[in-house]
Amino acid sequence: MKQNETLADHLQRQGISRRGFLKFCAATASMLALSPNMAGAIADALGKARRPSVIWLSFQECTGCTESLTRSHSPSLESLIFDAISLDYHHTLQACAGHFAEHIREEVIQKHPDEYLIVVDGSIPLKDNGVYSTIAGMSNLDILKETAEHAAAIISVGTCAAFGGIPYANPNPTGAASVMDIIKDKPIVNVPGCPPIPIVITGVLSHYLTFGTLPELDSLKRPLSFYGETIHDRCYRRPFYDQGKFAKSFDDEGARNGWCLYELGCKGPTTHNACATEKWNNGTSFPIESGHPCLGCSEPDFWDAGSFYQALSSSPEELNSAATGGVAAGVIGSAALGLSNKHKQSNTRDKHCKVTSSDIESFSS
Amino acid sequence: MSKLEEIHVRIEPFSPASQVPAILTELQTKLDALCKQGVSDSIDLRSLPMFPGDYEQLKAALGYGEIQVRIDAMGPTEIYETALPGIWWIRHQNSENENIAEFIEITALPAILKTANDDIQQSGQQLQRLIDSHTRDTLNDE
Repeated sequence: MKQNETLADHLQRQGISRRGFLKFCAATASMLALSPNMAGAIADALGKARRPSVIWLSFQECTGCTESLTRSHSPSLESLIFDAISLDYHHTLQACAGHFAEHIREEVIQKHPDEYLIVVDGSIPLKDNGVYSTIAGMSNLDILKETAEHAAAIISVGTCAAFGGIPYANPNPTGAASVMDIIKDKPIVNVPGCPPIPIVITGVLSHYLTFGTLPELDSLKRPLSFYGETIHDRCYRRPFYDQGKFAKSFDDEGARNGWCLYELGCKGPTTHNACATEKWNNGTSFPIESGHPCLGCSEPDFWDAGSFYQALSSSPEELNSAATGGVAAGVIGSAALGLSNKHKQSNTRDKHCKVTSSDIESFSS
Repeated sequence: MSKLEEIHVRIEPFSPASQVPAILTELQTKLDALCKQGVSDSIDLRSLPMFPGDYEQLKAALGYGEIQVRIDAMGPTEIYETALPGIWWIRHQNSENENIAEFIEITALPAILKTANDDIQQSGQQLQRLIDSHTRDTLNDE
């Protein structure tokens, strides 16, 4: 796509018809949890959108977030949205290396001040002056600060960039920190998940392209359209939870009947993410549909919040009443539930218990 | 075996957790609004937490009506009017035949089927070029 071309022009040049574009917009509306009737308005706005420059910074990470995004089949919504941005710097994907690569990053900062977006995956080590992760002789911390100074906004992709993630886990040997721990004067959107669902990453980008603004966020800076509800709220097994029908082991009658996995350690009630509706592997399924409890990977400190196979410390009834109160009291109630969950997670962390292979086997015995 | 659809899954006839009755009630409300106020609406099927088997049951309950349309634009889109006039089932797929969006529209005619004004104008220009080219050919033959 040429720099000054609109998305509509670009798609037309590629032979994509107006109906094709409208279909793409209908799917975008669905992705952003907007009314399907908004497809026409999205088509108007997106048709006039011009491609913004994007600098993708990879710090202490495993490249799983990039894998999540690039593994989507083509042509998909993800690939179309990626056509609509100018991805100028990305270690894993860029062809050039060394001074040339760094020159491009500097050039974007100079040519498009206050217009370019930064996508960050990975946490930033602060201990010992950030020596544990450097790129082109610069610490991750210096690169982030230098690039963020003139950015329009930052999207922290993955739990590591959003909350510190696995590098931040106890005992945090590198002093890992999240982007929002360091940058305080720029709009930040957190897109946590280990990895995040690809469509959630592109959803934030398409919201920016469509409306020219960042989406509405929760108290942890996560887009409400994807993280507004818990996995538990949108889980197809929720009716079994309400009926008190729980699987007690991975091969009992309850497990075979597809009952609720709460007692097997499911973190769905305290985890805000869109897996239950957006699903994985091109919409095939999500972990609970495969019979495995949710690990809670999109929440802060998920790695230190106790065994994945131990039930949450509250009883289903307590969580249920807290959740109902949260709905009744609106945002304040949800925030209170979030705080209460955080408190419970922190309690569990204090009693940190490791899970062994024999623990897992005991669930199947 | 290369595709998931080729793995046969037995669908339970009835689940105590079925969402189908709730969806049918929502359709009734929306159909009423279309009838009395002329307001079109839709339901995004992807946003609903459906139990395995609910999708198939909903499809069977609504049935097939008189119209079935296929659009080829960035992959196939299948549209059909259900056995209940005014209720349309729309499934958008990409070129790999994977679902990218699925809706039930409650409308007299889904918007994607109408030809856009810009396209009609372009069509007129294209037609004029065809006429010009034929006229030139005829003159040359003479």
